[in-house]
This record gives sequence, C-alpha cells and structure tokens, in this order.
Amino acid sequence: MIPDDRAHETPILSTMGPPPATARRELDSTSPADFAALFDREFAYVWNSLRRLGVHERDLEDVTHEVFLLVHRNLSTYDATRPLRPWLFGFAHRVAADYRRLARHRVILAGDAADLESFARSETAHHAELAARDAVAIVERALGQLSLDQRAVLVLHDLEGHAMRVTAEALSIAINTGYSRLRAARARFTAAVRAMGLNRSDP
Amino acid sequence: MSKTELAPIESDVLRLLELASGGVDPPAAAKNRVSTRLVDSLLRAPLGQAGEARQKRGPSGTADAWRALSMRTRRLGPVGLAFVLGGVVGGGVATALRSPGPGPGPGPVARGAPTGRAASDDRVEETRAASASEPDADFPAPAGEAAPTGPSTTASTQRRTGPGSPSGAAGLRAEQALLDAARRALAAGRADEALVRLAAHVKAYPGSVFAEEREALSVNALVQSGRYEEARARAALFVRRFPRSMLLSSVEAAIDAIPR
Repeated sequence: MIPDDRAHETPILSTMGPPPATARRELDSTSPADFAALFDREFAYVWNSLRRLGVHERDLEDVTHEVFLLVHRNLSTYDATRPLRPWLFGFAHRVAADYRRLARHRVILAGDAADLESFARSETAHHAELAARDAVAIVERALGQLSLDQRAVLVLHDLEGHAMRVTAEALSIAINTGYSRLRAARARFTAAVRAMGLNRSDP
Repeated sequence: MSKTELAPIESDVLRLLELASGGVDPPAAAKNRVSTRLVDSLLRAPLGQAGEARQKRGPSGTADAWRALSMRTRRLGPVGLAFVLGGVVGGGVATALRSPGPGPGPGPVARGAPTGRAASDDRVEETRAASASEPDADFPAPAGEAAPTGPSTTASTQRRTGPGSPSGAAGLRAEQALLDAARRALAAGRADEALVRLAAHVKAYPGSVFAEEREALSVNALVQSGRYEEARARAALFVRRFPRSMLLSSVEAAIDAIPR
C-alpha cells in the first residue's frame, strides 16, 4: 500500500502517463523532422491542454499555432531527461495566460458561470453512466470555475497524473505553491461538479 | 502548504477525471490548418531558429520540415493526404518552398488567414502528364522509358498559377496522384510500371515538392527491376541532393539489397 505522503506524488491516473520513450530522446532544434514528428504526435495533447486551460473553441486553432511556434523557438532548451508533455504544457499555460488577458476573452469567460448553471440543468446522468465525452464536457465546465493557475496545477497533477515536482517545474512555481493551488483547485473543482448534479456515488 | 496537508481527491471526482483524461480528438481539418499556418510562419520567420536555420542552410531547411511533416502524415492514409492537400491549398506552401529567396516578409501570420480545407472529399484523379517541360537537370528520366502520352494541362498550368489557386492545388493533387500510382505499382511488384510512372512524374514535374519521395521510390523501383547500376547512380544523386532526408534509410536499404 502506498503511504499517504507518497500518494500525492504518485500519478493518480494511469491512463495519461508520460509520452512514449521515443519522445524522450533529445530533440534536435535544427531538425525539421524532429519538430514535424513532435507536432504530429503532440497536436492533440496541446489542443486538449488549451481547452482545459479555458481557450474558447473558436480560438483553439490560433492559440495552438502560437504554442507550437513557441515550442519551435525553444526546442534547444528541452531537457531530454525530463518528460516532454509537462514541458509542452508550460508553453500552453503561458500562451493561454496571454490569451486570457485580452479583454475580449474576459467577456467570454465571464459567461462561464451562467453556462455552468445551464449545463447543470441539462445534465442529469449519474457519473457512472457518463460517457467519456460527457465527462470531458463536465470537467471542462468545472475547470471554468478555477483560476488559470489552479486549472494548470489540477490538470497536470490530477488529470494527467504528473508528480508535483514535475508539475511545479513545468509551471515554474515552488512545490509548496503547487500544493497550495492544488488544494484550492480541488475544492473549487469538486464544488463545481457537485453543482452540476454529480453526487457522491458511495454511501 | 505541503503535500502532507493535502486532502485526497474524492473517489467519484477522481473517477470523473479518469473518464475525461483522454480528452477529445481534435478535428483533422483543424490539424491541417494549424500545420499549414505553422509551416507558413516558419518559412516567413525572419528571426529566431527558423530564420537562423534558413540562413545557414538555405530555404530547403524548412522545406525539409514540410516534406518530413507531409510524408509522415501521408502514411496515415486519407487523413494524412488531406493534411498535405489542406496545407497546399491554404498556405501557399509550395510557392514558398520553391522560392529561392526569403519569404514574403516578416511578421506574424494574420489570424484567420489562410485556412486550407481538408481535401479528403475531393476526388483525386490520376493525371498523366507527358508533354510538359524541361527535364530535371539532376534527375533525368531513365533512358529508354517513354512517358505516358496524354494531355498535360495540369502540369503546365500548375507552374503558371499559385498553389493557393484552385488550379495550383489541383496540380499538386495530380502530382501526388501520379506518385501514389507509382507507389502502388511498386508495392504490387510491378516495378517496371512504377518506373514508367515515375519517369512521367520527372518529365511533368521536374521541380516537384515531392521530388525527394519520387527519387527514393525510383531507387527502389530500379533495384526491384534489376537495374542495379542505374539504381546505384540514382542513389548517389539522392544522397548528394537530400543529405538529411528521412528517406535515406530506405534508399540505403534498397542498395544494400542488391545481390553481390
């Protein structure tokens, strides 16, 4: 049995582990083939990360494009001994932060609460019966109730299952800051999914 | 705050996260469009690694990137093909690839600009183009191989028009179709037929963006048809022209397969 103090450092989910070993080899910043392969393999990951970070559907292509441009410019800084996806997520987080600073996006984000209520009224299925698609929708809606920094920590640590050390490094924050944000993120996230009708299944 | 003070996440919420962990599949067309814009941006980049790399290696550096990307995705089948064609239609990539000079200019790509549409719904018809233009200086058609006869309007039109225009895109689709036909023939063991089609491709599209793939196929086809000396000569040209090619291993494997 995993001790409690280690449990938080153990990936919660086994389905979203680090990228394949082939992705861990050193990336050659001057190799177009490396970048092309990275784009091909990680496009969906970056796309989903941006969704989880609150980028509106209509802007996903623009913002994904910006993330990969940033990745390309920084390929030479990638440490091949570290997992690739948290490194990519760090870029997604930075670009998403810039995106959310724009006033026109704040208007959209302000509508999240109303959207959530509407979604709650329409969402009646018990969680055990939810299809993955519905789960994605609920999670993304609930993430909408968190600050960007809270989202980032919760996504990397709880959704993708990275250790806090990796999470904190990807987001350039202290580990204790990461835990602090995670605690707040979990509380808000849980409250949000409860508000959408997801009840505790076990007595 | 430390990890020991962190309460575990509730089991049903954890279950929800598990269900959602796979995310969604992005639309293939969106991937096509982003790739197009990305390559376009890298081709235009005046500064940074893309620009520096281009200065060091010439414009073919990013061209290699596109080719590598397109070749990789073409192996994925129809989706990959749509990827390539979407890129060609939307980004003006081929024009940039063929341009010996710097890109059209610095600056970010405008939002909402070129949006190549996936071409998976398009019917790709094989075009036989034989009466086109000058032979490829580096890769002349193998001696004794007559190109298929027929109209070649696609090839000549394609050179005169930009790839962003419908006729330019159609030209590139025709290029790709001819190459695919050669590949299918080779895979079916009809090396001679593949060589005929590849020769037609050389004649019709001497400056093709698919030249790298075409020449690698040619080496393989020559080996399969027993024309070993020609295969070796063509392989040597390939190595000289595409020293960083992803297809080098394929070419080398073909030469290694020649009986000693």
